[in-house]
Amino acid sequence: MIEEILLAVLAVMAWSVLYKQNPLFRVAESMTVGLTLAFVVYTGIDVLGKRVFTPWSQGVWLTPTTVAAILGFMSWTRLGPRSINWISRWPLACLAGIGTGIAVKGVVGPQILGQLTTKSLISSDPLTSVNNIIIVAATITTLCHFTFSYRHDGVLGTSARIGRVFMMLAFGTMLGGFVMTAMGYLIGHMFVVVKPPAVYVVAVALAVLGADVIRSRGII
Amino acid sequence: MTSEKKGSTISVINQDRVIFLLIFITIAIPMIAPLGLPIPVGPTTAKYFSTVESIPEGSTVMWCTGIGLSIWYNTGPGEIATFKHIFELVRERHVKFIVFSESAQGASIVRRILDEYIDLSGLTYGEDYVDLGWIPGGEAALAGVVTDFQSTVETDHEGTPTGEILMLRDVKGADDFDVLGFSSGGMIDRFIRQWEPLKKPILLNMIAIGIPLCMPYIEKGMVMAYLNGQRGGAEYEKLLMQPGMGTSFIDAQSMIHLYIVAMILVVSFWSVSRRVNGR
Repeated sequence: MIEEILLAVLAVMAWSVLYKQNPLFRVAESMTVGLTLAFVVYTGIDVLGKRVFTPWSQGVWLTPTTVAAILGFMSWTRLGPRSINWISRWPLACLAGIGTGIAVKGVVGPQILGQLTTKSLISSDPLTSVNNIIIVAATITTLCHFTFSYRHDGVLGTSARIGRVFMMLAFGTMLGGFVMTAMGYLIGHMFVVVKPPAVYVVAVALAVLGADVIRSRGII
Repeated sequence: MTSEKKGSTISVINQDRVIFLLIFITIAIPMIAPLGLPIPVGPTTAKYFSTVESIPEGSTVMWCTGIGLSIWYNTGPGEIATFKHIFELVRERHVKFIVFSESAQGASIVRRILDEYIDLSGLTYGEDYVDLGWIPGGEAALAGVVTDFQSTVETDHEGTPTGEILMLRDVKGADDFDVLGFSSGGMIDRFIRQWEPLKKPILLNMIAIGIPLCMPYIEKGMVMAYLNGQRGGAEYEKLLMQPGMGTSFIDAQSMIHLYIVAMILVVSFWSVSRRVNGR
């Protein structure tokens, strides 16, 4: 019950910006950042305790996790005197090197060769065939749009313009997806706030809102 | 919302306020009085369901919860339904379920699902399922769990060493997993880079906005089946015949779709009529 009321209070505080900027919104904004940070720090310390400090207390000094933790501690030397700052470069170098190595391993197969190979553009399903042709056309024409070595005249100019249309379609689709995803967040929160006890919080918020509208002598 | 245009009957600020107010009302009405609109199951969700359903007896499923709390309402229904379905298989077909997260928030989501939504009675932790908690390391961790499991995963979420957990003792890497799955609220490239070369079935529970970015992998069959956000979750609940959070949302989602279509039409008509009138 307390969880639902808290959710409703925070949701209403956050939504209040849709009416106008106000201190309650800024409190909710700061609380979100602070609570998220606190949660991550708490969980991080918890993981360190279980996977690093507990093995150390049992005399197990060298495990992959403890090595990673030591590298992590080394990065904190950046906060210390200038004379020991150089130590923080090693974990960064390890992170960049290992990260790149691991990522590159999988890039060639699934992300390059896997995307280039195809059996045939023409499929038994006519719609799939049309789709394949559209994909090829969109790829080529979009690449034409970003070809800046030549003037966009003639065939190149026409291709570039078609490529721009394909990009607009793609961006529009993504924007539509983003809007619907955002609505999904709202639907989730509304599911809680339209039911007791959270609905009483909303009722109070609406009363405050109404009072403010009346106080400012009707905006609409 | 910071500027106010003069000369129109409703100011820009108040146009925004009316639009938002109508959004709230459109969503609230079906929440208060459910409309019971039908939930047609799409082919992608049907494929996801049949892929999970066809997991053979005695298989091991490894799942990575890669979502955060901010997208809980979008991907949560699919995540819960997936866990429910897999736990049915754990009971009926002795499937082993290993779950972990690549983020702190994801780990708490896993705990929440297991504690609040899954019936764990009769199942033995460490023999039927195991929660490894948060495995830090990002892509390196994803690579590690399938190449050198024992070195990457030293303990479960409670700090119990993997060597003391019965179902994990002999797990070494990819060969010990039959199905891989994950949920995500962003780019899935890292999962594909590390897990696709293993040629295992990969399941995906994805936030709706991320689906277009996943299509190259889905079209190529690298991701065997996927759930499309909240809607996919609702469809999956229907197939499981276990209505849940997703089903509760679907009326509101349908209504808000209609509202947005209506808004696009109204604004387009208004914009065209202004041009015609030379304003």
